[in-house]
Amino acid sequence: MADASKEKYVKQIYPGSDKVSDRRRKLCDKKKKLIKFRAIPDDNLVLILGHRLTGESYVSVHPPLDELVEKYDPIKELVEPTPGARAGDRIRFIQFTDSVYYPPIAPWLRSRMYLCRFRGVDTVVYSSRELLEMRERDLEAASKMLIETDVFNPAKTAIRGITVHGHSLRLDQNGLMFDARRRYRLDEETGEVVYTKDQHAYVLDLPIPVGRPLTERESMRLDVTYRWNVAPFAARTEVNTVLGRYGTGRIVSGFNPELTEEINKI
Amino acid sequence: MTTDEEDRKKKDEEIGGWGVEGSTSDADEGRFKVAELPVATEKMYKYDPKKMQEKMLPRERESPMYSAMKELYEGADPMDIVDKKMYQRGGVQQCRTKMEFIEAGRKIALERGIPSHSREMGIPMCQRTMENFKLVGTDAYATYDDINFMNNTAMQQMMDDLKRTVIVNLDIPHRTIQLRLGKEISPETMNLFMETLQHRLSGGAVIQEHMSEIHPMLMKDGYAKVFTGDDDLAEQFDRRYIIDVNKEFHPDRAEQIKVGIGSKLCCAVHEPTHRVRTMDGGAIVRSSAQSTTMAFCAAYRLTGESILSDIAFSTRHAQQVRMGEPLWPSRSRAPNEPGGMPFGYLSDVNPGDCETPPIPLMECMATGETDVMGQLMASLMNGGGMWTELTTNAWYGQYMAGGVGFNAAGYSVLMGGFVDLSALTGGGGEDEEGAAQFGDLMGSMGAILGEHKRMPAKWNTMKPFIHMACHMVMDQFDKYPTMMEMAWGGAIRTFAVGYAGSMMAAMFTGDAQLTQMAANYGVAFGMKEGWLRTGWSGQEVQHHVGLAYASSLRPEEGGLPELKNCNTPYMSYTVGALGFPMFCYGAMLARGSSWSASPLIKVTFADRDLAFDFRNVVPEFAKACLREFEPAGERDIMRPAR
Repeated sequence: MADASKEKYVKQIYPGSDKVSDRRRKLCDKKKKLIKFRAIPDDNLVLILGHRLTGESYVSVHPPLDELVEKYDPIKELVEPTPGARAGDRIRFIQFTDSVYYPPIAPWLRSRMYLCRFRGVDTVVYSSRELLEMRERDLEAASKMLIETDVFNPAKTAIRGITVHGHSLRLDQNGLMFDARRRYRLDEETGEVVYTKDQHAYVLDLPIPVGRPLTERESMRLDVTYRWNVAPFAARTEVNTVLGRYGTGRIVSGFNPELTEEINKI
Repeated sequence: MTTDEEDRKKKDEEIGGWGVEGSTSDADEGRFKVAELPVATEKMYKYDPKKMQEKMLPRERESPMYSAMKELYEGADPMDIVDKKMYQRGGVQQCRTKMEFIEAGRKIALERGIPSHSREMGIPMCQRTMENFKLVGTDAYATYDDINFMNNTAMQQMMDDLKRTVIVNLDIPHRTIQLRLGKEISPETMNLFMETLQHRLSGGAVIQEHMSEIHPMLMKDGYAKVFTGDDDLAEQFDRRYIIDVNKEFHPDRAEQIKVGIGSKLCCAVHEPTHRVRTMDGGAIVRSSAQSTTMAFCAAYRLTGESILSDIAFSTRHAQQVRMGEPLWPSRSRAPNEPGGMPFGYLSDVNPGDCETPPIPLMECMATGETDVMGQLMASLMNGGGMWTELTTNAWYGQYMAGGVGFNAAGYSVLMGGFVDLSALTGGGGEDEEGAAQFGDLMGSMGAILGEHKRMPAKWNTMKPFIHMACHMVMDQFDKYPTMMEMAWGGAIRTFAVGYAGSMMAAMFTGDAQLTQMAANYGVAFGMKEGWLRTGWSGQEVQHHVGLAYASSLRPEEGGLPELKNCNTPYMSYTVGALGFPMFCYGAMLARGSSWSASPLIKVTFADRDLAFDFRNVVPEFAKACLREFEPAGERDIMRPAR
């Protein structure tokens, strides 16, 4: 008989047996690769981010780590610096707004995904948006992945550094999420969404295409939220059971930490 | 066991055993456990949402929510996720107040030579629908700007009326005068004291001549009235100086109030609005003490003898009930300012329930007392308008943030109906309809739960209801993109989703502590996992995710909701704070109580002579939107005529 204690622990990541739970599990599982939907040239990415000019070298805020003589710190031995940290890049950001309508990713899941897949991040969750801060060259690499893969729907995910609201409004005539700064529009000739302003809403010299909007069918397939017409939340018994257990644990232990074991009886 | 008890027990078993109030036996305890209900599995819910949608949509289109949203959004299909006129509505031209502001800004700039309000700055406003809402329960339409706290004189007056109020117990001064000075306290002297106090509150001098007095027209809303639980004592006073508990409250409620107050003689002192607008709540506390002490001096011919210090200490500290406590230094405010007002007090400020019998809500549901039920729900909505202004708009929006964002949240309560209640019932919330429909839902719940007065305040008993309410509201938002657009801010939706479930906990159990746990659960677990988004700053703030805080009774960690306030350090800095007075009030209704934290506050604000009518909160706001509300404390008499 196999010794149960020696069995390898497998992360469950997220409860539930439906397709939304599956997708949540996938996005937070570093071993699972995201699907590439489009290609964005590096120079275009730099222009959309708006932190430096194309071809400009990275601004550094401290000498490269290899040139620094620092006091001994065991943590620094254990943690491999990211390329940006090693080079001394400044911290820059990208911010995504996710519509409520069939989003391929949503703020809290972004937070979890960033923390599962990236290193050296600082992230902030809001109701509509998610701020991601990293060293500049790390940020560009992460942004490329976030824009080129299935977590970006050009119609319902937007890159906005300022004036972010619009996530909960109805979509415009072309099915695009509302943007008070009008940073992007649908190019009817190519059928692609093009950015005419960078994330800070400064006008770009040339429009930058970021791919076609996903179809309704694709959007619904990639939706990560429990919605009444995709995957009704009330029917997610496993998720709700887990949530109930968390809630009960916090309440019972809040009154008396010694009663923590009580939750196992429920 | 009597036959009635046997029947009742049998009935309990038949309905599934949700339990009755006060059940203590093991058998009863066992019946509360959800585990005894059939456990749902994911397979039980296997159905095609698309097919379900096709079945359900035609019926949904007949709902009041559908027609209300259709009217609000100019005939657009409320369930369509596309706005066919986005960016094409003429910008600010669709908004009366914005156009007025542009003109005013231009005029100011020309007059003073320094730029003022200018639409050229920032981003273009009104690129989407700028809703003109009908204020709930009125015929008045208003814009977002109309309900900004700074634009609405009624909202300001409401807050001023709270800030300018202090309650002083008169027993100690009377006892001191009687026992230590040997002077007689008679109806004549007590009424003389009250008349003197009115003069003093109007800015008059009473002890020394050659004083610098205040123009009475500036102070015309300053007055004081006494109240007591002792009818014989109350009869000693001139009718002009008394808040008659028997007159202002339903007889059964009056009895409860009178027992709560006892034979104490209290004086509700309302300093003039002009004083609070020029100074602050701290000035009110001190001025009230000064006025009361001086009135005693004048009425009883006291001089600088030792008992004066006792009277002054009594009126200023020992026997003085303030509306709010001072705040900690980084948010430093004096006493009697909104940040320091306990939620229980804010709950008691609402006199909406005064004229209804104190029947516990569940008993109303079970016995079919729909009139009482409707009145109690209407009183809750009356309070909703008040609490959103006092907490969200006044405290967080103006005192703490000074911005224009928090004010936008007020419309979720004031306009288009009480979003969470309407969402919960599928109602549009026009007039009292939202309340009535919520009452219908509660009525049907009451029928399920039998003739019990209250559900046991146990987490496992309430959890299914909290889940249900939370999911229902989320579904409503999903079904109606227009409703989602109306509640465009995450924090507003958080309030709606989280607090719908929690209000069920309040109304079924009468336990405000459990209610706040339910709210936290609805937001931090229900809404967050369903949509993967919550509110402002991800609602990742203490009181939303910190269920442990909600559970603890230690003052520095949690404490009773009735005794907390907006300034409690772990309270989150969001619109959600308006829910807390609501929790206290809902729990009070469920218990069939007549006050939440203090009968003194309840009686003080049942007075009909205050400048703001606390019985008709939203109609008063509506008057101000139409610029028909007359606020107190104006300085017109002292300024040049124009």
